[in-house]
Amino acid sequence: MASNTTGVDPGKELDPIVKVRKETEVLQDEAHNIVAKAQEEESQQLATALLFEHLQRPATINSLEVHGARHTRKDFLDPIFKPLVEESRNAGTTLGSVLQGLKEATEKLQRFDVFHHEPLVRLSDARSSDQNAAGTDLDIAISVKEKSRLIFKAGTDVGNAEGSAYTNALWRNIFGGAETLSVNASAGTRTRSAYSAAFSTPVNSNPDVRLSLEALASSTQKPWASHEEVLKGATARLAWLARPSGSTYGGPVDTHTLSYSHVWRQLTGLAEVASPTVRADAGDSLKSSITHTFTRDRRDNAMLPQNGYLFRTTSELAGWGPLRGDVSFAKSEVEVSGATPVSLPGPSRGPSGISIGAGFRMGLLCPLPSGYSLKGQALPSRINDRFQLGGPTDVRGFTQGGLGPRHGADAVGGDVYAAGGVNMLLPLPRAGPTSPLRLQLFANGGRLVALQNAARGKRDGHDGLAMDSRTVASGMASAIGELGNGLPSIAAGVGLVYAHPVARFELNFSLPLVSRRGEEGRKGLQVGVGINFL
Amino acid sequence: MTEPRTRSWMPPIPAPLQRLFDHFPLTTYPPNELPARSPRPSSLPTLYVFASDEDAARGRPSFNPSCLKWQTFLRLSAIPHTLVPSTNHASPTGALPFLLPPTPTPSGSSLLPPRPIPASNLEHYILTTTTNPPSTSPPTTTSPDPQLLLAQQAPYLPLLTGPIRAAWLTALYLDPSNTPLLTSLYVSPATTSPLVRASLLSQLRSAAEAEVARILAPTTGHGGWKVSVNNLLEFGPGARTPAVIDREEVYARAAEAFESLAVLLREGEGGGTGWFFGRGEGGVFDAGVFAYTCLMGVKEGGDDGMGLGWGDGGRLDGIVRRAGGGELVRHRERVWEVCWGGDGDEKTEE
Repeated sequence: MASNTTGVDPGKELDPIVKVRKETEVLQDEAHNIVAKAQEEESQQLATALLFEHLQRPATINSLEVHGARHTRKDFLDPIFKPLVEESRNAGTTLGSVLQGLKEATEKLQRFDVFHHEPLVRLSDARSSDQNAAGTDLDIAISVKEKSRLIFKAGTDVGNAEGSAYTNALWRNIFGGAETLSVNASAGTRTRSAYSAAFSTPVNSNPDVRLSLEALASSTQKPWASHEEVLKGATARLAWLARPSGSTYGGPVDTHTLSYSHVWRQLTGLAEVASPTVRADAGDSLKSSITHTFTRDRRDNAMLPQNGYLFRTTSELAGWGPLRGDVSFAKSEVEVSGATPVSLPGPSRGPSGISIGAGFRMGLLCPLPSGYSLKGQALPSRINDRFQLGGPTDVRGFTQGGLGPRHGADAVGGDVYAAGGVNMLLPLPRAGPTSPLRLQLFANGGRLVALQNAARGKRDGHDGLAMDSRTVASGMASAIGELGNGLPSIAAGVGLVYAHPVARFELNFSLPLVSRRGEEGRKGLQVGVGINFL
Repeated sequence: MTEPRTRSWMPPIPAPLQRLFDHFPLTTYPPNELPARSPRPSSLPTLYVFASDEDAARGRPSFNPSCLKWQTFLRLSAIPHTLVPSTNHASPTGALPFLLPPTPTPSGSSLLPPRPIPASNLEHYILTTTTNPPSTSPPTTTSPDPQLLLAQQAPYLPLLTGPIRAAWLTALYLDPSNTPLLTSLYVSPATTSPLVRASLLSQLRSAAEAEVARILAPTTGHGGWKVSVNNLLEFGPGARTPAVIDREEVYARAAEAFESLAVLLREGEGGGTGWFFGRGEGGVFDAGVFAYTCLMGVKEGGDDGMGLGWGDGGRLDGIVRRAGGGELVRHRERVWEVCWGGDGDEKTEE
């Protein structure tokens, strides 16, 4: 700094008098700030007190009108607003509780997706319109604006390892009870064509409970197993939100879905190189199943989780008992993932943008005998029911379906799997922690094992495939045991993550560390696009 | 094992890096076991046919004429093989039968499985396979000039693919009295679902109807445009209209065709062999004729007999029996004797 002649370094050049004067200034400033802060706090407290006082004022509802809901049935709105004006609730109430009730009701209205946001709520003294009204009585007018009832959309979609173009027609509020009919047609890179129509309605005017009926026809390419799957079927689904005990309104919720589906599957369009395993499963099968899904999502951001956890279970029962159909099995999957932010030591303020995450999934498919018995002959699983593992959205560093049993070039799937991974997200130096861009270090691995028929070849009946319950039980036990046989197939790498609100994009460089012969690892770059990552 | 596709837009990996990459994966375990449903590799050629599980396991004749033709020819050529019951969806051409050559090494589940051979190439495959082991029959009558054989067959093949096939389709698919038979052969084994069965049955019917119409009037194509959604619904003037098929006319044409075949066979019988074109043993043409005449027979109890459980009282069998002086019936029995002679289970392959 010796050559620095013109620049003035204030810390060094200050003479003591200046310094003292400066210090007083600083002190004065500080005092000023403290006073201002105190004043501000005081006025805020005053406002709160005033508001509080106001909210404590007794108030009751004299009349409640909803304007602008031209296509909505009154008996649909009644269950939402009736509780507010019921005698039991509408006596000895305060303005605060009336407003709280209105807030809950209008929020419910919005979740039907029938009205535009922020309905206009007007409160007026009831005495101006009604001479008999009490001094506490209020007239309430809610003005809503209905969204357009018919919408056509066309666009592009990104799903797990797939892109597609779609057209969609949505008919809202069909019968005036927030019923919707959505008709969808799409063509994509993997799902060559898909047509679906879904009718959905809230149950009992409750936006938290929805019943839907859906019909679909689709044709999907499965290049990892050299075939195409054509589906035609229907699903009835009941979805509801559950508030954990102790949770307040508007707090975290869990979602449940219970569905019944009846699907005709056709494995067709086999490639010339298709393996005998795929050829053996070609043709028709009908799956009749009930599925329950539970999801608890407490992540701060689904595309780039830095804090919180996700817990999801899926259970499916197909073909057993009254379900009938051609396939019979019980299938269950559990997924847990979580992330925690890492704060750097030091005086830095705000989140560092660094986080450590981990995820674990496992699934089990157990063949069941058809009919009501549990001890009859069960047929082993088909390729379209078995699990697939590997790919940029689950076990990175392996190709799509790259883990598990392979017949020739085909990933033929397995009946039991477990997969897990850890990752560390680091903000990029220039972009900072607020950007959706992260550097990722990861290691993940998994194992996909097929159920074996130990009794096969001994052939007691004429059907060589069927397994009795004891063979199934011992087969499942040894398949689960096989999960822990040796290290799982593992890959590790580094990459970039970009979290777009619609989907998450990843570009990773990875190397497989452990694998089974036949499994398709991927050395080098891998692109992942998806919604649900391990 | 690793990425087999090379990407042209990627620069080649430098050699030192490639050497480093070659160390990965650091550990490789033995391959995963295949699922329980996977067929075990076979050291025999496998013919995928329409058949019930039990019939396939015991090597009994397929109930589909095209499948039975090649099954018969394999047996006539004394090539040991296994049968696998299958569906058209499994075939590379969309139609059965096809043949999967034996897997080269029994332990190679990760090896590429052999390519399937469609029906159109089966004759070549069978003829080249039979030349390998020395034949026991006298060389004078066997291995005739394939070109000559082809020239001999050429005028008669259209009889099988034309009127006889049309009569077969008409009887099995379009005659309502045979619906229970059709359902038990092609529809019920596919699924247990009544809805899917109804859909499959109507698909089968309309496909057969279109095929018969095409055979009867090959020149009349569809005019006009049509819109089809997922191959299920069709609209417009070009959409399929129910063809009017005169069953009696179809059967009459089939009778003429069988008459010609009987005459052709009589020439052969005159020569003393009893096979078509005076050959010393059954060939692919014999197998093709047998496939129809065998299945047109009426099954009389038991599982091991010839024919099917026709619901129309054996309309087609009557035509076969009436043709010529019974040459076709004798031919049918001759082929049966060679291929399934004695106990039907005698030739069960594993």
